[in-house]
Amino acid sequence: MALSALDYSIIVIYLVSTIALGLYIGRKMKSGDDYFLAGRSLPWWAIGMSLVVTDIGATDMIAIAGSAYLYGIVMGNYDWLGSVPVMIIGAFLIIPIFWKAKVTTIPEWLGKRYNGAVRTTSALIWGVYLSMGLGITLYITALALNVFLDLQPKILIVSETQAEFQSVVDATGAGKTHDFKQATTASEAAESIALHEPNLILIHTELAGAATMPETGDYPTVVYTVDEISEEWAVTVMEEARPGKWNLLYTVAIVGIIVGGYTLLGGLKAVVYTDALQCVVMLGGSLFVLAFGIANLGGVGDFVDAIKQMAPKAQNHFELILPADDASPHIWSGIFLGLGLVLANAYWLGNQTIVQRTLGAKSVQDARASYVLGSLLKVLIPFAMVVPGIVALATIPDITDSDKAMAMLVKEIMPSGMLGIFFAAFLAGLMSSVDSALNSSATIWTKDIYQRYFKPDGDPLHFLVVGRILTVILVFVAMGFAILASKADSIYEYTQTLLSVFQGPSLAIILIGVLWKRATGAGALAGLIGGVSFSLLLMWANKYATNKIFQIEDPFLYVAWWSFVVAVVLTIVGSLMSKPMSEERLEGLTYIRDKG
Amino acid sequence: MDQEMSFIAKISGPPADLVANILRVPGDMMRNVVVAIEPPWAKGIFIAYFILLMVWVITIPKEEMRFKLESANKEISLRPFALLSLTTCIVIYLVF
Repeated sequence: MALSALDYSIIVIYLVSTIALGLYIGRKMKSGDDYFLAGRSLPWWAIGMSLVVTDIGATDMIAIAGSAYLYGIVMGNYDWLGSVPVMIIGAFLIIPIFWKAKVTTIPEWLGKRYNGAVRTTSALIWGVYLSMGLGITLYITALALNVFLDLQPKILIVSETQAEFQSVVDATGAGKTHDFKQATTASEAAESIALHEPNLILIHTELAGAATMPETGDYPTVVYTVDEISEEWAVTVMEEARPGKWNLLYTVAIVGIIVGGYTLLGGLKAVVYTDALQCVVMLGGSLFVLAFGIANLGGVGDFVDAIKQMAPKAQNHFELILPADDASPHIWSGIFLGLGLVLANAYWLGNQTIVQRTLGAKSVQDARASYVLGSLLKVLIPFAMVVPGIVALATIPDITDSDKAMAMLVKEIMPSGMLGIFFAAFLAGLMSSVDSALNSSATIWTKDIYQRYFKPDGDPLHFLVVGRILTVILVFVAMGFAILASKADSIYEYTQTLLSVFQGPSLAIILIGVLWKRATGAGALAGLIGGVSFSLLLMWANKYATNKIFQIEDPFLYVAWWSFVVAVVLTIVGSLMSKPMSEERLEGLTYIRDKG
Repeated sequence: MDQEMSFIAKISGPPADLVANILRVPGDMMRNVVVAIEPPWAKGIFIAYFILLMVWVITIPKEEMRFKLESANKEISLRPFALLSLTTCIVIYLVF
């Protein structure tokens, strides 16, 4: 994407403002509490904006618009059903209980409510996940940035059929890291070579013999037959590719250093206030794209007509509810049970990255108000993220890779000088996810593992130093993981899967702990371990059974639902079989005792 | 690595089939129920969920809704704002 001097100026101003804000905020840091909870001084508006922008990473800006391009407004469910109701539940039911318990992490609350074993188990699960997930976030963020800036190495495949093109791409396994271009004729190949300067050219043997096929000159070129296409063949072929001008790892390092820098110095306070700035930039930039996109199509009426004329391809693009037997992965039953009742609740009520900022609120009223503000902003998000994907379909109906829909729409409609605004919005989404994961990960390792097991009597300054050291270590661990993920796709997939494995059981023990006084530590441990084990059993059986258990390809919503159900049952049974906890111990930790 | 993975796949097949056959029973029961629910009824379930939450929000004691807006130095209730976000969602589900 070609950016003008004005675009670059906007981006530089935005980056400098963010870093300066982070450094300014970090100058008065004196204790671990300042670092992890901003000294419990955060106002509702900053937390509310931070909550929303943390939820939407740069990759979401691309992936949500890409999915909306394919499936339509149904993607709005992930905010309207997946965020709004649970943020209201959180505001008045769960978050005040966490805040009043004066804890820094959710595992710490679990330790107070149940026992040390539940705290440590939960802390280890979250600590490991967040540390790995940070690397993956960094990796996919760098990938998204490279796609956006057109920095990926390019591979030109000269093949007449789309199926053959796709089979070559699949065989290489490099679809995420390389930009594959297809040419079906000799003239298209000549045009593509001149335009993209590919790092490798693969030509089907029949087309290679065409008299009009252009000279490939210095470009590495491989001629292939359909029978040759295999993963082993692809490994050999990819070795021929010339290295890209820009290495993905440079992007990983730059993002890691910038975000790590202001998170290291400013802690949660810097994260939340820079997030608030990022929220304005991200929402503003995305709504700009929406307004330009719809105006470009002639207005809302023309936009809707353009999509309706695309039936049957886009016949459900304005349907929020899809039948349970539809081929789409976003059918209503999965959305309602898996997302609405489990994953959304687990995310907004039980994810340390999200909840930590409300624990730093200056009052319980601010904590409540932040979630209410977040729910109002969340109503707007699909208009900024989902609808632009549908606008992209109406504007450019023939995009082969839907994940490029947003970038292509921006390129197509935004006037020169305005691209910088969207790019700044993209950077905002990118940085807000990485900084939050980094800060929360350092918090869990410091508070739930280091302080608990190695230095229970450390002074506040000591934990500030440890938190900062751990932040630096985690930046390097994340970079290492990002490098691993760039070499092995399976690591990326396993980390994504990991979240759906323990989200349901984690939510189960939090909800039961808040709502049911009779729940005990033994029951919660049984629910947590049993639920996670059941998730793994489901995934294993679904992968290796001759007939799959689930009829959709990626059943994470159903895995979350069933593991939640199993964890609820095990927690209840385990609690009833163990000795009840004393009333004094539960003071202020359950909703029943705390209302009014 | 590939050899190890194919070995795992080979030995996992029969026990995975057994587990899948057991778990498919409750899974299929649930699937039959949700498939029988037509989209307009499903939409009703979504909207009912929002309405239930609105009812709950209305019943929350006044003290828990209180919020001191420091910039304006006055106290407001969070209830109308919570109801606004839920109502907007209901309207959206009615439209789409």
